[in-house]
Amino acid sequence: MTTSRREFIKGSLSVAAAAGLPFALGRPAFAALVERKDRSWEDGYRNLFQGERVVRSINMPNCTGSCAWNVIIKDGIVKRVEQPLDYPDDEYNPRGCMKGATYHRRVYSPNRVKFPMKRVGPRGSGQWKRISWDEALDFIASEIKRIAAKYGQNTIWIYPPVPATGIAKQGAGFRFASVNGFGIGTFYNWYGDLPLAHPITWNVQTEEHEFKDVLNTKYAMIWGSDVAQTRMPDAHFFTDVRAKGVKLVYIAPYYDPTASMVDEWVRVRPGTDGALALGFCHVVVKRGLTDEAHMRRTTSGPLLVRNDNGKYLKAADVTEGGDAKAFMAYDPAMGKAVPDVYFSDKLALTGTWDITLKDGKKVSCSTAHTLLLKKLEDYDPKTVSEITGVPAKDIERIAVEYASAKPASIWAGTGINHWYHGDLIGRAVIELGCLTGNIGRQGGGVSPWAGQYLMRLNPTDYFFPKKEGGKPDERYRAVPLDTAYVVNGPTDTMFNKAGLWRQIRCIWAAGGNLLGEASDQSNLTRNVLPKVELIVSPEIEMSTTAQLADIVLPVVSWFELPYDIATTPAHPYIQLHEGGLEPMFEAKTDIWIYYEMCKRLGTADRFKFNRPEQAIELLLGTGGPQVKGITLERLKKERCIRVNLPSSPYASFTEEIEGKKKFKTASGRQELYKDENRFIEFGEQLPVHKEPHQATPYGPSKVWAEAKKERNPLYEKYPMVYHARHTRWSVHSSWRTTGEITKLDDIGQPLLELNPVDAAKRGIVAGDWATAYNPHGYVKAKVKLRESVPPGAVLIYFGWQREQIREGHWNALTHNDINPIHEIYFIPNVWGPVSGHFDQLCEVKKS
Amino acid sequence: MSEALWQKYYGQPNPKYGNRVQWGMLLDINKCIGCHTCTMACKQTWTSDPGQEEMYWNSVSTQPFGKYPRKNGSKNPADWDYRFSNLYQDTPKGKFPKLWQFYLARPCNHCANPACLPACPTRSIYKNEDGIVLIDQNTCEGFQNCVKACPYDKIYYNAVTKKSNKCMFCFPLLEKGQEPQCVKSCVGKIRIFGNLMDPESTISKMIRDPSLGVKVYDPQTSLKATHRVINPVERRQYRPDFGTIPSVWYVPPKNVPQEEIEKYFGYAMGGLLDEPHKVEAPIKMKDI
Repeated sequence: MTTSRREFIKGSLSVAAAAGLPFALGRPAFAALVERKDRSWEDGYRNLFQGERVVRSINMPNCTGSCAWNVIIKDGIVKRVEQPLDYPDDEYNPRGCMKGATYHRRVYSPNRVKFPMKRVGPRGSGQWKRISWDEALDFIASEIKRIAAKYGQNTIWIYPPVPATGIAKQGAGFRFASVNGFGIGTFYNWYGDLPLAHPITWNVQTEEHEFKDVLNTKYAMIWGSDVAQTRMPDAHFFTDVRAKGVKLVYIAPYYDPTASMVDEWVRVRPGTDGALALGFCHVVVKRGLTDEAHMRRTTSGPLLVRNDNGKYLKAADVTEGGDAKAFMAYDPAMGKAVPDVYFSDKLALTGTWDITLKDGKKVSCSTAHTLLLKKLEDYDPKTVSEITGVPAKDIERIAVEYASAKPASIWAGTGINHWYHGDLIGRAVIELGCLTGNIGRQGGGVSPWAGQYLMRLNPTDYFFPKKEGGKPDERYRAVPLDTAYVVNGPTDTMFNKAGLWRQIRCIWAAGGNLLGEASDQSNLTRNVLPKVELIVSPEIEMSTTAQLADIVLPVVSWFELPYDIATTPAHPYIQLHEGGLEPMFEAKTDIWIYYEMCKRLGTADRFKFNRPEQAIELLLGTGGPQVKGITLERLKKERCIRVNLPSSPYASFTEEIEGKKKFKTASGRQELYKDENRFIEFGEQLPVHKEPHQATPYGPSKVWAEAKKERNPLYEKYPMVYHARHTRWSVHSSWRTTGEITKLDDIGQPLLELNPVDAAKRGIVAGDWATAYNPHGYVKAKVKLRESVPPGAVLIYFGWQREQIREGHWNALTHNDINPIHEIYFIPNVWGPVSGHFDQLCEVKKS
Repeated sequence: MSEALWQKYYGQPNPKYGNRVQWGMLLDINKCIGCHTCTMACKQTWTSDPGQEEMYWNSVSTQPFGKYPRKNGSKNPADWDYRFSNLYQDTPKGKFPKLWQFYLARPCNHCANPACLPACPTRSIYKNEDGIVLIDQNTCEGFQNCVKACPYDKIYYNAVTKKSNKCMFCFPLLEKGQEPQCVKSCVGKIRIFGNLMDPESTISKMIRDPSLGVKVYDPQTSLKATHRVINPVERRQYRPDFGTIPSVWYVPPKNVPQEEIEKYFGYAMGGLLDEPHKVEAPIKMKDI
């Protein structure tokens, strides 16, 4: 040890010596530099690092990070974890935040579930009996059989895991539901993370640029996404690009950490971001900054819309035997309506004509762009300023800045998505991207990055296994039922209500802390749970769900999990996870639990796997072009491999906007105009601003011209917008009970955060206990005052477990009204009710 | 920092202690996202033992209200409150729309003229060959004079071992060719580490010429490091008025009013003090 140290010192000196510094070394004042033999204490610290073994693992919470960590094990115990700094692209190093740095504290948490437990008292009473694995599995199997016989197989409902966070183990939940014909819920739309504007406009689940693409941008708007708190491993891309002189604008009601690291913070009234986006669009159009070629070639702009019924004009309308699916556009050279040709420059972008239909009637048709321009007339900066509270001159200036920078990007988070009209807000933002021609360009685009939904491979063969001896594509399938309906009950407008709705009788909470995290908490606990006869909670720690369950099963932590693979929309790598510890206590892997259950239900021959390696091989083997050439063997060697993507850094729609292929929509174009009946019924064919459904002083869910004349009666009683939001200190409820982390979160307990003005009105001072309440429920917590919170808003950073809250629940105040637009189709996690839990009012009183 | 000043402070061996290497750090506050990954990386490596529960060798707090430790007006370390190290997180100052806050990450400064060292009655504190200030854990007797003397409050008394502990710039890791934990784990990529006394080191060049910041950081050949970008803003030291010549440098935040910046980083460029003056411990903190 001493030798190597001397060499090191010599090494560090040699550079200086080579530069020819005068080294007239005087006599050290305190003998500090004398070679001391008595520094044995130093060796004590050096020796700390001896005998360490390193395993590269992945942290797989649902935070979109998918960060690798070297687990450093000594004598079978994890000493600490360190970022491996081995991502092939150095821009992604280091990756992993303080939560990952303390995951081993959760592995050794006193809160761990150690063995299978069965409830012996009432639910939530904390009275448990330790049972063996066989007893637990036999009991669950018999209960499932009983419930299935009484109510039907599909009333056994798996709350699905977010698949990309460990595709083998999480996907096993889907496979388990499929082979048994159980019900399965949704996650992506239910969390409110699905930007429904993406399926509406592009017919894709979600498309986003990889984070490194921020480096290509010349102007970035961060819109309702507190990246400094919620995208920590990638936030540096923004600060990096800012250091190089790129302007960052943050649009949010709150002075969040992100607001303090950007060039301009725009405070917008909560829920009116759509109006602001349309205000920007208005300025772009008026100033002649529209990218007309982009609009004409790739968007629904040139498509003809019938002014009599609001529907797209189709070839079948015009000619006998015409194609009912062919959209029509107007060719000015030929002077008539022609079938649309994607990427054509010949089509008229604006105009209104009388088109003769096949029955000889004439009907007035306008291009969709003409209607869009007309709609934008309503959003002049003065009106938008009235709606949003953003000064008109700022709207003008930012719109011009954004439109003039090429490329300019928008990074839109869930802040604008967790609203009843989140789809409209998202569409308005996308309209801005389209008008300025920023879609499909590196350094441009509209990227949401919410939720780790993106698997970067096709998991169908694993999730929904083929039936042996059946037809080629006959598969075992789970019966979906959107989580929103499970929690809220069905709506009249629900898609295929007769076929899909049934009361759930058994919840297998595979996907996480459902009972602790669900919005509409009050309805769930009051009305739904009493009807549920069995709640199974496979858990690592005693979460709220585990506390309220009937059976708790101990599951291994990531560090005890042999293998898995994980991906994320944030970076383009598929990574192999390896544990390194033996399972602690009686913990088992998810896949083992499912297999054992299937054995008892007689479906083990369909489920097949009880080790993750088998699942990984199947996933990679059948995963499709993105993972072509990637095998488990290769992953074991390289650990982290970039999947096959069309561009680097990956940007969405690069091929589409070059005309190499069409968009996946019915028209093959970016559909800013929608003509499904329900869009027409609600006047939402084009992006418009509608006041929030609840959280507005004006007429709820109305367009501004009507809304401003009305008063929201609910607002008179509950004049505060209630937001339970993501914090840097937890990934939802994960890490909320980790002492090392909560210690750093202010005073380590839930806090109702208010603007001092609102607090003064209510006689509240910092540190008081207060209750936020509305007709749905309440939560009691201490008050923190800060100017960051706008007047008229209450903020509570969420994720707290049941035992950490004094009274009530931070999600007891939320209630999800379901927007009928979200029910036009039902494609699990692609088109379904998006949680609008930011759209909520409350009042606060001292207590 | 001008070339002349650099020559004066780093161009020759430390006049008092003779070290010819001075490891130092440069932190870009504009890039700090307040995530405390540095704090946790440090804590998981060094301060997980009994007696170190509230001890953060590297701490981060939101300025202007965050203080660690909170001294409650007392000069006696026994009265200081080390709990809730991140109290007032994300609490800005000012009224809308003129709000400001910033995250101040602080490891030990490993000063060129440390105040703690001469305060030690048992001569357990020394500045090693690399300019790292260390407390000999074998000879420390826990008098806590150093705790009082350090104007940055970066020495912590461990009531279990009855000795004082402090940041060691991760010297065992440096010897293994790694950067200190807080630097290599920094997920905001705000930190640069290197030898301030080496005229060719990236850090000493970047401190002398701020415009070098926007170029991709070329890590020190002797240490494994990742690429980083630093804002091209004048580099300063935190509270240089204490006169201890800290080896940790900062890029002050652009979003904070200049007069507030001066309170934190004020005398750095205008006056790294001419000569390291003798520090009479303890120094009274100016109110910020």
